[in-house]
Amino acid sequence: MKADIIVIGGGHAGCEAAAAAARIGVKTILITHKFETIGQMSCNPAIGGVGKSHLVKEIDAADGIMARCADRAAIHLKVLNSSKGPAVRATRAQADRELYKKSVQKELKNLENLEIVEGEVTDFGIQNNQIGSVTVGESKILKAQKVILTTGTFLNGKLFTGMDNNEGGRVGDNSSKKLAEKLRNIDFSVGRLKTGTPPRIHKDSINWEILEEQKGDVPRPTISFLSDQSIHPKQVPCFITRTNEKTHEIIIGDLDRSPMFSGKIEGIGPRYCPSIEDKIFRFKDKKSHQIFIEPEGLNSDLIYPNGISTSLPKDCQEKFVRSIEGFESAKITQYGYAVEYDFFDPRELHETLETRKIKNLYFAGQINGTTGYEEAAAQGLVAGANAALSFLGKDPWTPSREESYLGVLIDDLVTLGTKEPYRMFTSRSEHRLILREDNADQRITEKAYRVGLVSESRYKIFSEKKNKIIKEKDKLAKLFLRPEDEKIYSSLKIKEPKSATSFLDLLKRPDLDFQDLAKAFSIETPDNDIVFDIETNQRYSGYIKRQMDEIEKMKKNRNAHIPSNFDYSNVKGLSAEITQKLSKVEPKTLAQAWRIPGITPAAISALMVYLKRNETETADKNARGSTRES
Amino acid sequence: MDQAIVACSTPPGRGAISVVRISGREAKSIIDNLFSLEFDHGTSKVAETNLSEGFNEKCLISCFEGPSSYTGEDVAEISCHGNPLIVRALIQKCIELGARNANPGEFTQRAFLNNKIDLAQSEAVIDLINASSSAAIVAASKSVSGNFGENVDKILESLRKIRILVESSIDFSDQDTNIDFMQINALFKDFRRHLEDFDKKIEEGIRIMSEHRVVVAGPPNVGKSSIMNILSGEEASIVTEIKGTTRDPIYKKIQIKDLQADIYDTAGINEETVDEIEKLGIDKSRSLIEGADLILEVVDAENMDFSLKKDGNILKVFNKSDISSPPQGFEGIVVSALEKKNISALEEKIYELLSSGGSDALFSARERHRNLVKKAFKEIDSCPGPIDVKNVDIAAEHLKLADIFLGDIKSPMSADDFLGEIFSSFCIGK
Repeated sequence: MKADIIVIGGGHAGCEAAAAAARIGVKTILITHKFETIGQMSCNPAIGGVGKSHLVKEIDAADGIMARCADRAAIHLKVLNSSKGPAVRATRAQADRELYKKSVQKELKNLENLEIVEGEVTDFGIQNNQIGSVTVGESKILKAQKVILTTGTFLNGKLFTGMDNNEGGRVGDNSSKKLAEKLRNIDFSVGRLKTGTPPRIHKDSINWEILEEQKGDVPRPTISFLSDQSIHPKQVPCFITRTNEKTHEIIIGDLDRSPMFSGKIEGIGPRYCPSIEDKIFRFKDKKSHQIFIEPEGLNSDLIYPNGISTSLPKDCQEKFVRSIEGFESAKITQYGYAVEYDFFDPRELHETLETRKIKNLYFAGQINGTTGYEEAAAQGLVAGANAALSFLGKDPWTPSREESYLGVLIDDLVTLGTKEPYRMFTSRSEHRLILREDNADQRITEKAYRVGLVSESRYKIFSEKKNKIIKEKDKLAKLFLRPEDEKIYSSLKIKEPKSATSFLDLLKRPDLDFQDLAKAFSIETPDNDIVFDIETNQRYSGYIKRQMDEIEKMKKNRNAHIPSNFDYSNVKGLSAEITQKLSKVEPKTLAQAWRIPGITPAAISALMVYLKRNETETADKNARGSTRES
Repeated sequence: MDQAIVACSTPPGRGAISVVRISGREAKSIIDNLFSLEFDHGTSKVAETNLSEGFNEKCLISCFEGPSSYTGEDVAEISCHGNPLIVRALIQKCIELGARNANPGEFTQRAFLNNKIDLAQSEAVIDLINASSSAAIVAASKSVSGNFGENVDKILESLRKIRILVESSIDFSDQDTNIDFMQINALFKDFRRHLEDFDKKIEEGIRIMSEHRVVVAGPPNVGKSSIMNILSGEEASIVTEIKGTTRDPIYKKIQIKDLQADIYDTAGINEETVDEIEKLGIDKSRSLIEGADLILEVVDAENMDFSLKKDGNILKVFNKSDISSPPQGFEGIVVSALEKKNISALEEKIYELLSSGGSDALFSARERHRNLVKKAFKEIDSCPGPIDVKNVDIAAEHLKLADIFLGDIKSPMSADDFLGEIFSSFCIGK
């Protein structure tokens, strides 16, 4: 058996990586412990959310699989921040675990260049710091030009419930101990992180009558640009309950039996999604915490109580769960646990997610210190695409942080590294008003198409939408409201315009929307997505222009290029510590250097002065050179 | 450590003592070579060095080992006799031993690059050198020791409190964080007030650092130029008995006690003149008067009804007391420039008027700081208000930009050109 690219791991990073490489047209093998766990949602049964949905839409815009699989599994859909501006709106889907998994498996099976192999990878064939093969099981060697490692929480995974712990990557699955050992031998900087899950509860043991119901949105949003509502399965509601003082009392009383608080877990957990014991301990004055009751699936007997992830002992879990309204006679079918696992310092990666230390080896997903399906899938896409492009001898595809959350994610990881599980937030982007869910296709699809990630059929749909927007905008720019059009402006309840104002310019006013204007001008309203695109861009236009200017200015000022293999010891005024930090990350630009933790403003100035002087000297030399030639 | 730099840190020319300063890699070996001295941190020792045949110069050498020195490198300060020839010979020796001539401000630049001081502190160092009153010196030294920086930090902190809530309301909307927009708006109001207050402090910090400008104004031929000449102790203005002799404003430095000021002579304001050149001179006088910190409105017995009709810091001066007396109830200082009578009373009054209100500056500041604060202000004022669910995405943008501008006061990321500017405004040797 031979492949050009091997992907190890069948989680969200692995699936997206394998699919991306195969889409580009490179022979790919995906190796996983068990075929049936491919696409498994190990944590909560939801995809999307603020920041995360932005990533999913970008993956979709590059023809990735996550969004359309999520649509096929979505049993409850909501737009978060719907009352806020369009830039921060975010779609979230509750997904049926089975449907999602099956959908992902089907997608992968249908890919021409992809083969799936069951087995455990136990060793790497590395020579001269370059990977060339992997060993599956005892001795089966598979050769490949590129290897993408997406082992999630399986590297040295340890599961904790109370004071008990055992090895594993997820309940019911073994951890990859051998592989972890091999990797530890390669001198990658390794750290420990932890994450946790709540207990799962049998739905028949819940008193639904008294719980607050939350219905999905009407009209129902979709995750993928290409989906429509008909793809969604049956819709179900979610429910909300809360912890109370009794719950808190029980938990506080048992803190000494918590592996977190007794010091058994060394790994650092996410600040943003703490365990319930953590929340109660840290926010002592908060008398109650919300629990979002998520259905695990249409045919599942289980619910996922989001908000009470815990690693407390089983008897304590029983006690505190039953103190919660609606859960009085709850039957726990699987206890909550914490997972502690190895991750590698992502600052040792190139922007393509290839490791600096071992050529042709790529890392994607939780192995790089992230948390979340969406963050993992996004890295899978980038690693898979770049492994394939590199194999084909083509230029890499590295979306920038100015154009995408994919870029923000990768740039943050390889520049900043992370101390806790990294998750995406819109506030991580400097260009939030530009990087919206609704325009992910406008930002990504064209470039992704050019590197071979996007199918012809999707590209055709994208181009049509793009052309429609251009045509519609042209039309609206020539449609004027003149001072004499009394009928129009009075029907809009606005003052007489001083001079002719175009429909397009009128859209900039916060008090006018497309629908009202179309009515007043008696023109036909185009498709919703076209309306939304034009309306949003016009409304934000002043800000977008400013952000664009800012991006330009920054590019000029801050994107001073730092040559590769740059010798920082030549720069005057850099301390040994800073020189070391810079040499480790090898920032490509001044802006990137600036974000490295511990880099002082003075160091940046020194670097800036040095680069500027070199630039001038080079320019002078070039100028002199050209004079001589002429 | 970088190659050592060397320069004379005291003003050029002859004096009792000159100080030659060395900083960098070779400082230790230079001291060893020149004086056969052990480089002991924090010590001052007397030693001799041979500068030319038959001439040994006796110096006082103070040593500071990096990083506990001004620049963060090894620094030596050599005090020698204040003769330019000796200084030159000493510097030449240092260069032969591996140092090079320092550029203007390079010592402070190294302190900045070695993270000994931040940018605002570097700027304050120049201000401290250039300060022209004791109040300015106090203000600049407060900035050097980080007072100004602390104020910037406080402002940023109160802005970031709002930003955390605003950003949380966006990124954590699916959790029961219950962001209270009332609280955001209350904090916003507080912040705006703080920023306003800070802006005023900066104005004061700039004002205190600026050179005082005293303008002598009045009708023609009342003796304005003579008064200026007496105050500056120099024959700067041509004094004649012809009306309109002074056409171009001339200025001189005056020193009254610890206070330095520029004093400007102006063309006499003769409303009836038809002379085009004199008219131009009068226009110039008027614009000088506009920008003055203090106006000496000079009159004599024949021009008692003259008035600039201006508010502000005006001191009436009645000249020619040798030939006439001011009318009853004249409020001002009565002098005779010709006989140099009562001049010290005039100086006393000028000192009093110029130094009033200037001593409460909390730090020194610069135009660059004010511009950044103004930019931040513009963001705050274009922020939609009150901030609510509907406009929070836009508000977040404005708050972010305000943060960037205020952050630029201490860290130099958004403009790269001013760095060179800052350090080149130093004199060599600092």
